[in-house]
Amino acid sequence: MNPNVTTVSVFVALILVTLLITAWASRRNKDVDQHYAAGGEIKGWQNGLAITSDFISAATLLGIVGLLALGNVTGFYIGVGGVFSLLLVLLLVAEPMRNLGRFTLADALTARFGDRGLRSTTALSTVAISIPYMIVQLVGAGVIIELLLGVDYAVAVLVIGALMAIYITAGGMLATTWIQIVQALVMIGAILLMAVLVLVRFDFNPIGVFTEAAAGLGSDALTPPHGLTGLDWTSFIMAQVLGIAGMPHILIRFFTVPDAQTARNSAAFAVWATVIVMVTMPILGYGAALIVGQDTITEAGEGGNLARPAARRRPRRAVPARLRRGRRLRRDPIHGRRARHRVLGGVLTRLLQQGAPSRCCQ
Amino acid sequence: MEPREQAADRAQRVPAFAELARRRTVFVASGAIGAFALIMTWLLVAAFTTVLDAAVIGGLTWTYLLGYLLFAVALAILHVYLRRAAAWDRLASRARQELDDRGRSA
Repeated sequence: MNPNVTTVSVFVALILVTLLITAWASRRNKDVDQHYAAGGEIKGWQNGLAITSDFISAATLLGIVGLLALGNVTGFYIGVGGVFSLLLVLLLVAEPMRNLGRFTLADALTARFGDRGLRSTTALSTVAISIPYMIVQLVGAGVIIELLLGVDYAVAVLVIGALMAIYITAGGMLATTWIQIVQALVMIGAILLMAVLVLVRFDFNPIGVFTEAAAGLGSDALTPPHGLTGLDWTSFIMAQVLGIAGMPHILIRFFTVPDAQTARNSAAFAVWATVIVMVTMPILGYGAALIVGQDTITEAGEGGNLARPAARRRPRRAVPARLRRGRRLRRDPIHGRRARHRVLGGVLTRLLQQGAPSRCCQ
Repeated sequence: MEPREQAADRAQRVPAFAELARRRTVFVASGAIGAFALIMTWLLVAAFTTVLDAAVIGGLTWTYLLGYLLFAVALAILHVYLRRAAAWDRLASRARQELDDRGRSA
């Protein structure tokens, strides 16, 4: 079967599944509580997967793997920071949110502090946080669909935006939760599959990936940034660890479960799922660099197909010698941005196309 | 239905509930501060020294090894918290029972 037909079929099948979930959820939405909080009937593991899906979005995943593929350890920082941020969510906010809130973050804060001004301030803060976050997600989704299906970027963003609006207005929190569960399962499954496919080439020896990366990309690819750049990243991770505990779309997930114990269990499930995913990130990132090649990853051509790296569709442009080593590649933000979107699709395609496993980079 | 603020004030006067709140606050505060301090220490040592640059096993550097250990630490804190929280749930049930008994005798 033509890979493009496969890609389009899988994409259409996923859209159909999400629309069916929305139709099913819309029939169950009988009142406000059902619409905004799924009637508080979501189970712990379901909410845990939905929280995981909130955190491990396509943008996060592509960004982390892309950074690592370009020899930047800071991608791993984001993974560790993400796990600790969810741990703080568990310790500090999961149970209080469930006990105090009903539909929104403002409910929880006003129940505790009882100030009407607080409600409007919280509403404004929620909008201020959510709009940029939503834009990032729409851009990420638009880029992926553009690369996967070859449709115009603006059309991809509009279609995804319309689908999101349909899911939320028709299906409410119940549809949103189940779509997130499907997304989490698809993404975790894909990540684990790719990790296994990469490890096959290294005799299932994860250390071998690091060793090959140090040999092939330079030892700088496995060492952290120092000085002000290191401080910059420390500041970024500090914001991530403390900030996720204040993200409205994560906090309102705790209103969908029946009690504080379930809220606690769902946060614990999310921590475990995120650890499982983040542990594999260096394998995927360095695997992409070694199997696909940093040169291919950093090719700057626009368009292309995520399931087929651009280098295989158009004449290959020479990559300047100064960009060939990992230490230098990571300083090139323009190439880096474009590359991150191709890494996952590229590594998967190469692994599947090359058939029988053989050790790479020899 | 009793307003939440009044219910919270009444509950605070029950010794079992006060003990529960104190234990929970101590654990949660120390767990959160400890976890935050650990990850910040890892990042700052990586940023301002070169001790984590060296390879430990094959190409795996100390930066990665300690990062993976931090995953294990996060899971350890998680499970200690879950176990303690189960004990606090039992204390909370006792506190509720005490509140009900006071309500009946009043």
